Amino acid sequence: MNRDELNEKIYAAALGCLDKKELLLFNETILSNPDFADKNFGIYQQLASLLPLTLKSSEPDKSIKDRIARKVYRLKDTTPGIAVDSVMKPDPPAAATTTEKISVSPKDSFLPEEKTETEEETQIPGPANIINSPEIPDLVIEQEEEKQPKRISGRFEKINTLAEDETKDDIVLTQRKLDIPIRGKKIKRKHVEKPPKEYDEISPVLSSSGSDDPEKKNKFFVILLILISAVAMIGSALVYIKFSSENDKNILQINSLTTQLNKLNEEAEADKKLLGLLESSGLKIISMNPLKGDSVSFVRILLNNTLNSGFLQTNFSEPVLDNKPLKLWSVSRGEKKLIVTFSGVKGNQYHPINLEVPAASTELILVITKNTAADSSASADSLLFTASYFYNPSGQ
Amino acid sequence: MSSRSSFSDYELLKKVAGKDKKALETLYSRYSPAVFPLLKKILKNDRMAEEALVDIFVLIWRRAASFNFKNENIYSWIIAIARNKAIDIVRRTSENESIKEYSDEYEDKYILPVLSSSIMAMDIKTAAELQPNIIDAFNNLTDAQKYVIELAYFDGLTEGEIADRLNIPLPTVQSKINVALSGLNEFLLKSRKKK
Repeated sequence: MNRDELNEKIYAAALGCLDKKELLLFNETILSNPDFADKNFGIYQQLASLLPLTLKSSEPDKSIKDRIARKVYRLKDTTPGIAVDSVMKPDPPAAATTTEKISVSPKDSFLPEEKTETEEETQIPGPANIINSPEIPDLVIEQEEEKQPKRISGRFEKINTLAEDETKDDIVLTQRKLDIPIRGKKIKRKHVEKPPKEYDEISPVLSSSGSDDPEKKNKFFVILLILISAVAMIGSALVYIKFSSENDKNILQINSLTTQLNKLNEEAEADKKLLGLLESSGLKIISMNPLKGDSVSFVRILLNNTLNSGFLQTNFSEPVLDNKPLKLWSVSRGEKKLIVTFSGVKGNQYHPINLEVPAASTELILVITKNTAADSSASADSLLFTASYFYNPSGQ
Repeated sequence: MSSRSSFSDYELLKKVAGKDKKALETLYSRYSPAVFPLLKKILKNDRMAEEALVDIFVLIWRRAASFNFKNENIYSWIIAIARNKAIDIVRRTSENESIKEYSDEYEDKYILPVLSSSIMAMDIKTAAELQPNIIDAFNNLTDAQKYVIELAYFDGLTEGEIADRLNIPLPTVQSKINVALSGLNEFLLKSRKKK
């Protein structure tokens, strides 16, 4: 940005209406160019800052001060403080404080020989400065403002009086909040997360209860107790429900395991019997006639001649009659007896059987029927497997 | 112990830079009646203005040390911070504006003002005395000039945005701003001379 561009932008920059790019460029240029005569810029910056004075003065809510104090407290001095003495001191002509510098009253003690460097600068060609202009000497403020308070008329009378009329209570209050020595003694503050107790007491807006009214406090505690009780009850109920449902689950699991165990025991018992049968000398194997068109599947009766008991072995390559129940019958001299009911499931199965064969009987016909068949004399399609067994009580 | 109320704004800000909380409180008491109406005007919402006021004084607390104590214009520095912060809030809350995350770097660039090294000293008391004059001077501007200044200073529009808003060329806007500010300054000087 060259000098002409810079000068053109001074007004907009002072008024704060440069866009962000232009603002950065402008600031960089004036900061990197010490020769830049930015007196005009200073005058218009100051002028712009006076624009809010055209607005009607209004004071914020008193609680704002507390909120600021609280926020500042929370910052916990993370930004290291700079000792007042270490702060860059003004250049010699400006070394006096503002009060001192503008303390020359034109009405009583205006002293031309005390002109500061700043005053001299006003003579540099360019827009005159409204503050330091020699033509407007009555802008200055009396030096001894505390001894002889000056009444300032206008909307900002309050601003000035506010700063001066801080009551003792306000000071003590703020001292407590901000940990400032009172009467030369420093209030020790523990370095804890929570603000000191007195802070809450002083600042009801920020205190945890939010009110000093005992009735309100009582009400608050009753509500709090009810809430805590309700939460505890709900919690207990939830725990009970959780445990009882888990208990039910466990019982179901135990029942299921018991059933499985019983089944396994039964199977083991059957296996034991089967093993005993297979090892016995009186074993008789009766093969039943196969199903039509199924040469793989077979049905056999493993029978101990001595005990007249044994197993029905079924080995089906496919489920017979959709796993519906089947029945094994014995027919001896026209008398039928149901031996066992079983299902035609796929695979190898053993079903324990007992034969009550009449002693006089010399011939036994075994038939397997569909469950619907009431007896062996049912129609031919109900007969699935048949076999003849010639009874030999001696087992020979 | 001497009361902070007897200190100048300059001294108070120095103390704030040294983390003197009482000094901050005194500074707040002096400046909040001037800053708060500005925030209400820009933000158009009392609650937001209060929030912003809190943020601004916390910012002053944090960043007081970054003030160039070679100049003594505490008033312009604080008012500029307040104005920049409020405009930033407006821009952040507007739907069609995407602003970077707020950081110290952002604050340095766009919230903390770079004051002219030759700016005259000014505190709130001096500014308050000038109030009737600045009101007169502002009322002396033409309606168009007032409007342009309103759009630029209080609405936070850039020159380009003002040109778009008023449907006039950018150089015209720049010229109006220059003339308005010059006129304001001249009238202010004249009115002070008369008195």
